[in-house]
Parts: sequence; C-alpha cells; structure tokens
Amino acid sequence: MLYFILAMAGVLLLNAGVKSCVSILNSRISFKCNYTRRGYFCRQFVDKVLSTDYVNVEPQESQRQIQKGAYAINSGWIGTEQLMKQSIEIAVCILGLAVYGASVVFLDLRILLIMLIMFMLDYYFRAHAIRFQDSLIEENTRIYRTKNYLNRSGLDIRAGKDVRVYEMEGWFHRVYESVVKAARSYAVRTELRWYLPSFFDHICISARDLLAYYILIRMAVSGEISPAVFTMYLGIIAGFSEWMNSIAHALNVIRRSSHEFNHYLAVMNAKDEFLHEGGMQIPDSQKPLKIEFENVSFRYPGADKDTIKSLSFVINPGEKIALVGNNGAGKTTIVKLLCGLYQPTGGRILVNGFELSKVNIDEYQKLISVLFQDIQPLAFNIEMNVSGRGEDETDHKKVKESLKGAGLWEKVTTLPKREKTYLSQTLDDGGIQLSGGEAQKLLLARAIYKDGNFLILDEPTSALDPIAESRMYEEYNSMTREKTSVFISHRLASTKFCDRILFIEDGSIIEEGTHGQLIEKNGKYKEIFDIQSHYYQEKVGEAVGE
Amino acid sequence: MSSRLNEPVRTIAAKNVITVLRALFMRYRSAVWQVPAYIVLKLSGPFLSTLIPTVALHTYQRAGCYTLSLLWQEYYC
Repeated sequence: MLYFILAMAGVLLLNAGVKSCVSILNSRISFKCNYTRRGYFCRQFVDKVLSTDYVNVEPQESQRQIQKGAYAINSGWIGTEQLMKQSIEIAVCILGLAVYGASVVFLDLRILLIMLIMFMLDYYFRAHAIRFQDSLIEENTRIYRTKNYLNRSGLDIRAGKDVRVYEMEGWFHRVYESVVKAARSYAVRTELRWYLPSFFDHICISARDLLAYYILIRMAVSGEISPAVFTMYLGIIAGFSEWMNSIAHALNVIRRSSHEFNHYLAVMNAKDEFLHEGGMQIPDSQKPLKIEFENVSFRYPGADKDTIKSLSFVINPGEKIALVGNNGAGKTTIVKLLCGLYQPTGGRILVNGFELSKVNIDEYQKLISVLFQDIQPLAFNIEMNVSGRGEDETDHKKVKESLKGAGLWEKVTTLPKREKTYLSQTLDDGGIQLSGGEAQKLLLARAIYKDGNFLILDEPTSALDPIAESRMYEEYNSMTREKTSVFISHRLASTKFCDRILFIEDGSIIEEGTHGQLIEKNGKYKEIFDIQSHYYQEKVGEAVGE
Repeated sequence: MSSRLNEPVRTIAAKNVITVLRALFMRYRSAVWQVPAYIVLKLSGPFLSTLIPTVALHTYQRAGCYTLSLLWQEYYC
C-alpha cells in the first residue's frame, strides 16, 4: 500500500511540477513573442514607412498596402505574433503526434489509419474556411480602416466644431452604424464557414471513440491487455486525436498568419529608387546650391496624365526664385521633386551638376529647409517641434531666435510653460491648440532653425493675416541670405522681392522673368496680378485700419 | 514610376516561420533554451496525465490490492 501511495504521490507531484513549469515557460515565451512583435517588427515597420521613398508611402495603393502590413503587426491575435506562437505549438504537436502515433501503431493500425483520414478531412474543411476568410481580407481591411478613422475623427476636437455647427452627428452615426453592420456581416459569413469543420470535428471524435473503444474492449475482454494497459491506451487515443486537432488548428493559423505576414513583408521589401546608402556626395554642398531641371516630366502613380510636362529651368546658387500659378498648376509637385520625395518620370534633376538620382538622398535632404503647404505640427512641445529633435539635442538659444524670426516668440512668451508648452493634449494635459497661422509660423521657425542652404517655402503665408504676411516678406530677405531659395505662392504680389519668377500653368512654364519684366510683358501674370492686387490692397487696408 | 509596395509577396509559410523565430531568438537569447524546454515539458504533460491512471492501477495491483482487477474481471467475464 505504501508503495502505491509513494508511487502515486511521486507521479502526481511530477505532473504538477511539469504543468507549473509549462505554465511559467508559456507565459515567458508569450511575453517575448509579444515584445518581439512590438519592439522589433512594429519598430522596423515604422522605421521603414518613415524612411522609404515617398512614392512607396503617398499613393492610395501604397496606403492600402501599409494598412494591411500594419494589420499584421498591430495585434497579438493575428499575423506576426500568432506566427511565432503557433510555430512553437506545432512543434509540440508534431512531436506529440509522433510519440502517440507510435504507441497507437503497436495497438492497432486501423485506429491510426482512421484517425489520419479524419485529420485530413478536418484540415481540408478548416483550410476551406480560412481560404474564404482570406478572400475577404480586402473587405475586412476596409472595414478596419473605416472603423479606425471614425473612432479617431469622432474624438478629434477639430472635427467636433463642424460636426456641431453643420449638425453632422446623425450622418456620422449612420456611417458608424453601416460600418458596424458591415463588420457584423463579415463576422457572420466567416462564422458560418467555421460551422462545417466544427460539426465535422464532433463527428470525427464520436466515430474515433466508437471504433477505439470497440477495439480496446474486445482486447481487454479477451485478456490481451491488462486494465492498466487498457486505461493507458484510452488516454493515448484521446491524446493522439487531441494532437491531430491541434496540428490542424495550428497549421491553419500559421497559413493565415503567414498570409498576413506577407503584407508586412511587402512593405518591408519595398525597394527605394533613391540612394539612401552610398551614392555620390554633393560637391560644395556647404555653399548655396545650383539646381537644374532638364526636361523634367512627372506623372503620379496611377494617374492618366503628366502633372509636370518637360519642365526645364535653372536656379543659380543664391538665387531667389518664385513659382507662381493657380491651384493645380503643379507647384507643389515641383516642391516634391525638389525635395527628393519623388523621382521624375522623364528628364533629370541636377544638383550642383550631379544627377539627383545618383547622389545620397539623405545627405541632400539635410541641406534643405522646407515649409510645406499642409502644416502638421507634432504633439510634442514647441521647442521640440522647432528643432525636430529631443530636448537634450536641442539648441535652446537657436530655437528662441527661430521663433522670433518666424514671428511666434511673442505668443510663446504668453504661455505658462513658454517654449516647453505641448501642442494638443495628446501627450500633455496642459497642451494647447495653435491657430492655423500660428502653426504655419511654428513650422517656418523649424525651417529657420534647420538653416539649410536650400530654402523652399510652399505657400508660407496662406494662413497668415495681411500684417503677419507683410512681416514674413520682410524676414524673407534675411532668411535667404547666402541661400538658394524657392518661394511658391498663388499670391503674385508676394513674389516681387524674388530675383526671378516662373509662372506655371498646367505643369509648364508659360512666363518667366522679374516682376517688372512680367508686368511689362502684359501677359497672364499681369492679368492675374491686376485682379489680385485690387482685392489684396483692400484687405491690407482693412487690416491696418483695425 | 510606380510604388514598389504593389508587388505581391508570396513567401511560403515555412520561410516566414523561420523569419519570425529568428527575430525572437535574436532579440531574446533566453528563448533559445526556453522554447525547447517548453516543447519537451508541454509534450510530457499530457503523457504524464495519461500515465497516472495506468501507474495507479499497476502499482495498486503490485501492492497486493487486487480488488480493482477482480472487479474488472467479474464485470467483463
């Protein structure tokens, strides 16, 4: 009796110890899988999206692919993390299947055969359900994207104004409802496909049990096996079946996760056309740059016509060029080409005589200070927004000077935390919202802080009032001293102080010269200038009168 | 010019499994022994559970308590 008690206590203790160890290891490995996803795959993904060529990021198709790639790494229940976890689980299952399978073979080969057939059928039905789910991945991504957008914009305070004034709540609510309905329909359809494998599972288990018990009981009754062996085989058959089900499940999850992971790889493997590593160094890059456009054409991916058509011009070192033209003329596209965000689809761009596609693009971009039209300050503090660096890497004195130069310092001194004030309340409860004009000044301060020797300002005064705009023009001369600069505006009066004006229409230069020359030419520039100047003088007069 | 993201990637699952596991092992050195240990222990868990009633019956018989096996024989024979 003592022998029995000791043996049982030993086995039970061993079992409890093994289970505890499994539980601890499972938790440790789960944690590591989770942080490999977050700390490695997510970080790599963000780094790639932030550093790859802009053409890999901006077009709609790329945006969709990025969404799919993000879907594979944003949750622990799908994609990358499941791929890690299930590949470990499947190793356990395969080994388990081998050990138990060998035991079943000793008992009766028929049991093994029927189990294998059932496994294959079960796998087929599950794979069928997964294939169906895969075919709906586009739909699921669209639902996921819309739902995310609605969640985000529903909480966005900026959208809140319009929502209230234009009574958009009902509309917003209906859109949300339709997305919830679409998500429900997706879930129901995919769920239905899983009923068949689930039903088949139960049939398999019952059939297996019937057959196995019949064979085992017959053997026990005939005295071929002892009660202990009978019990052991019951456990082995149940276990064998369990391993097979686990393998079918793990294989299908791996297949699906791998499919999702391929979307992640599509983003990670995107090739860059610009040279981010290696490439030529730009000679005399410390001096003002010379930029040449030689028959440059450009067409956006998926577009059916060129936005820029055989454009040729030279910006000499230290020259101040103005690009003017109506909306949609192609000015901002020229800025993107000048900044090395896109490669021309025809012709070439030369920087100090070297083709831009052959120089190190990161080194070139270090030389550019640019203020884009679509202003988007970050949720960090004012100082970090200006320097584009962490606080410990920021030159505080230079930040102050830049803010003064951009005309924002007065506003900053009225804030309780001055330049340490955060923008928006996303990262700091005491954060503030800047007006459109103030945000534009902030990003102008960033361009001044960087002090690149090629300055590009794309509609820098679009959100400024006439006085602030006039002050900006005064600052422009000191900002562009010893620099090559490009000033883009649809306000023709703002370009008087530039050395040369290029009037762009439909992606081509239609007039070129100084302000005086273009007025004298009495062409399109003069026509639009006259219309604008009448209106503009009235506005300045009103502003000064106030 | 077109985005390079539109090119489909159809890497086979086995290669993707190697990629993710390599990342796991590179990032966490301890995972190199924890994963095999987990596999072996997880495998032995159900095996031990299966063995418990077998060992119980076996040792009970060896200890001279034949009641169960007699019951067994009475019931089936």
